[in-house]
Amino acid sequence: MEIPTSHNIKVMNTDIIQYQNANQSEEEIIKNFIVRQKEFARVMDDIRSTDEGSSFQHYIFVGSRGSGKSTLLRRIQVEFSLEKALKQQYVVVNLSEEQSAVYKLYDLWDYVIRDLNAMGFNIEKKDFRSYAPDMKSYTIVLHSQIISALQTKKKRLILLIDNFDRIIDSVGNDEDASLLRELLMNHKDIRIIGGSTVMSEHFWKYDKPFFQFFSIKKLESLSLEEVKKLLEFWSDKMHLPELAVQINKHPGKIESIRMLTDGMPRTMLLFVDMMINRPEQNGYHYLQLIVDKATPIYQERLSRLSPAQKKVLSELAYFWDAASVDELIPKCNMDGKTISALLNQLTQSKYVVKIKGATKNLLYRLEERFFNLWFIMTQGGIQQRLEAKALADFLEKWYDQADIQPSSGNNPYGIHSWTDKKAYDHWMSGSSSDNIPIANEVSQTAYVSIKNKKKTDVLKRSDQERFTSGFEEPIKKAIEDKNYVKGLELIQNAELDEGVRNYWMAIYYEHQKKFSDAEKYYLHAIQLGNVKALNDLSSYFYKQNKIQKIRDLFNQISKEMIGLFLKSYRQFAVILYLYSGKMDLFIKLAQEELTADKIVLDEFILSLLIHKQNNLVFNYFEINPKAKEHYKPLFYATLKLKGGMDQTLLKMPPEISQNVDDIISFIRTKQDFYYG
Amino acid sequence: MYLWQQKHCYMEWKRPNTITGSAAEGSKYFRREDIEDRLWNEIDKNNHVLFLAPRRVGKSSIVKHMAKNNVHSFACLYEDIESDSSIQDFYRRLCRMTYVALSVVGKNKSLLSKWLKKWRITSIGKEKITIEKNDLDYRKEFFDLLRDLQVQRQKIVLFLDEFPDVLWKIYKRHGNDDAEILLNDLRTLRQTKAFKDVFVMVLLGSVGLSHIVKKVTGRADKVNDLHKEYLYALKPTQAMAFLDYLMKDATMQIDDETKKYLLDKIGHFIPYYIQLTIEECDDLLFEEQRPELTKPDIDKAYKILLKKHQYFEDWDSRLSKYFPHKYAYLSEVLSVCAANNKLTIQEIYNIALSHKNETEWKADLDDILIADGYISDEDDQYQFNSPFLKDWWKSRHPII
Repeated sequence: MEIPTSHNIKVMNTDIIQYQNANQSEEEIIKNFIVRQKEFARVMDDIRSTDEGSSFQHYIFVGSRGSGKSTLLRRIQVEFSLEKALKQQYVVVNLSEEQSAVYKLYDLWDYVIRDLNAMGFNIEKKDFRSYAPDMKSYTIVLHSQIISALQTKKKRLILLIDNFDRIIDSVGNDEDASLLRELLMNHKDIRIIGGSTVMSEHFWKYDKPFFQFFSIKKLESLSLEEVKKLLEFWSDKMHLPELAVQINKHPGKIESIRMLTDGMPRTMLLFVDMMINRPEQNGYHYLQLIVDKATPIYQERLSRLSPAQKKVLSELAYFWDAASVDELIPKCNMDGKTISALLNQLTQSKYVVKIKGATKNLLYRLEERFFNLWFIMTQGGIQQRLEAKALADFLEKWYDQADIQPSSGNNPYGIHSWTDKKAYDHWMSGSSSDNIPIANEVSQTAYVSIKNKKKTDVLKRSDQERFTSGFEEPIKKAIEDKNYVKGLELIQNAELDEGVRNYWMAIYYEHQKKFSDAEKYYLHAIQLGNVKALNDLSSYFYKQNKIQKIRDLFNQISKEMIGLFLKSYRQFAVILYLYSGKMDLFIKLAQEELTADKIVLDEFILSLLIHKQNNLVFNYFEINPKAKEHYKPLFYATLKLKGGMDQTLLKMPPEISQNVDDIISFIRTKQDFYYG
Repeated sequence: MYLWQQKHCYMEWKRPNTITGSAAEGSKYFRREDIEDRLWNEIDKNNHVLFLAPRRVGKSSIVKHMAKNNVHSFACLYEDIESDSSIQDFYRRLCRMTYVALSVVGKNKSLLSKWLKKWRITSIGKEKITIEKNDLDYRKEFFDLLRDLQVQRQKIVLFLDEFPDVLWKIYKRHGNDDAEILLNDLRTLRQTKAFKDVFVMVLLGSVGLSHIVKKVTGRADKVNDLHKEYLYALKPTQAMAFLDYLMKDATMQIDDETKKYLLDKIGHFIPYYIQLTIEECDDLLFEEQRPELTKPDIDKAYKILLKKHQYFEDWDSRLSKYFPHKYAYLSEVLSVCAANNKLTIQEIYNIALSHKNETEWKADLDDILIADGYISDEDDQYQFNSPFLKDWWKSRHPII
């Protein structure tokens, strides 16, 4: 078997995003059918358990473009061709290709007859002119021919119709729909299994013939587990084990893309394709590539709109959150009545969805969320793109935690680490250490990288002094590799500032879970002026909910140390003051941090919420719209925690609702931990 | 175990015996012997019946079973007739159904042969035919047929589903006159010996038939000779038996306490909603590959169903759009009914007074809220047909 090389990987990649599943062999269809198993099982179990005298369920799978409807129908078709018992009882007609030519119900039957004749049924062709103008009779006669032919061969028909909603729409008014329903009710020979891109009103309006007639199965966005299954499958198929490694290494990347795109199989396959061809990009870069691929489809959708409709749609998209007519007026430069009328048109044609709340004011947002994202990332200005990036980064970071179960508390302070790239950029910018990442191992790696590039002159002297010997990286590596003997040797022999040496001794013991020894060395390091040790020890006590220990610690350290700590770890210090009940200090410092022009760390906001400062955080978001946009999920989580904000919560983009719930769940668990 | 099950590590899973779209037939049909007996009783007495219930309550399933399994000496036939939109359509169907009913019992072969040639009948399988000759006046044909049938003794029972829809279509398409002709014809036929000796009609529809007849004729008397039979929700013992029927041999297991919890959650025992909930629970358990259903599972399934049927909004916007002046009254009736689970006629009148709707309050209740399937009444207690609609309405229009 040929081993894939980098050259032929690119050639093979077209297999992944192949859309026309009609071109795949039956074996390929079975092998490549990874997701939508539950829906497939539901239908097939039902079919197998239906005995001859019983009525049966007709199914419609509702899902947007790329959700896997055609593939699912094709998979069902293949199952019938392979299983002997099913093959004996049923014949399958899959009308996925001909449906654009169906104009009336008799066209539908006509195509069914053609396909049956191709399978040897020999149904006579009736001339419609013998029946015109009574086309209802013609329709009934065609249907009766099909029934007769099926009964002669003692078979029932499984009629697979992709885009069934289009057929119902194109067959005209309710007359044909009524006739179809009547024929399905009066004869048990035909079972329809269809696909629909929208939840057509034909299926749910009380006065429509097909009111709740079909069993509707919605094809939702893929779950994280399903996306992982897809990745693992392609990793195995393409003999690329590193792809499977990525799944576990970077769950955040997958989650952010899954949530922000439509999470549909076709989009996820695009993502897989890109991961193969362009490994080691961050989530936002993959998102850009995926969004670019969608451009032809969405440009086509836009081209169907009038200029005025496009204007309103675009401005609505740039809000990202749901918006009211009043909010759109200054953006569209149109009066409210005009905007309302245009929005109604856009709602009718399913571009926009209307949201009703408790008040009279309606809100609107784009129905297809991936379409909204496309607007933001391709048509939007700098501000919109920055917001998209911020959200993608936030989601990636959130779900990149090694263990996102809130009770883990693995990370002493923050919930996650900054990426190497970000820390590197921070160092390179020469910015102050006030907003320094808390995960110090990363900044050390960044320093080593800077040192290697001989750019240490951009660093502040105080920072350089922390890493003078260059031994710290090997010490860190030895400890992380659990090579404690080597680690200890390096610590004892390196040319290190004593404060730093004690600091590393503390780390050495902490890694081996010898916490009382670790604490001893941390305290020594602190006494010797090592502010990192103060941060790490405080983090450890905080993680353990040892409030008294923190109070004792801060009582015994010098004012100078506190000053250094505030300088280097300001926002964590604010949280510690809050946690330990030093409210005067907390309030003063929090007011200095939570200003209209500062974007604070997301960990800081999260910690404020954990310690029940919902109103403080809400006020911050109110005065700092940039922060609100930057931390959209945290903003909506704040609203939910605060309560009484139902009308504003209606504006939340649905694609972040799971993340908002995850954030709240995390906060509640932490609150239980700290407050019982 | 099927190959795909082995490949994806799914255990063998037998689904509950549900059906939520088409009428339930064969092994899917849960006997409603009480209703069947009541209907047979009226049919035996030669009474024509108007069998009423909102959509999705199960009336088609009942009469289909009766038509297929009649132990009486009748020739029975059921058809959904909703596509008929003219008098010609309707009578052609009556002719066809009469032909089929008689050919099934094997009587009147000479008559059948005469009709076969005249109408150009084609067989399309077991007990199904189609009539190909289009240029006959089938109303006249049917009346001629009646004369032909006078000497024979076979009683024919025709179950005609969605009759109110047909009447409405004829009215919309061909006007008052044709709709009135049909109503008058049927009323006359019902009182004519020639017809009464041969036919019993069971007309099925939503409770809106009187409403439609009033629109067509200005009065409701054209159908007041029909015996009205209502289909109510299952009683608690029946609901429990229905659950057992659905769960027979299914992989999903429910203990008695959990069954009771499930039924209490649904509240109004309409087979359709019980089955929807069971299917959702089954999907949940299948995904997690465990057979025991728990109360939290039921809560989760219910929440999912509430979200899936998110187009309840139409039920609200339809009222405000078509009945703007009555919306406040209708909305309050539904809101109080949702909050309290039930509402009495006295309470409804009380609400009507607060909206100064003293004269039309009952007509609005019958012709809008009941006719369109929002609520139904049992012994003057009104409740929502759909538990999902009730809970959605409660959340959308809370009583403060």
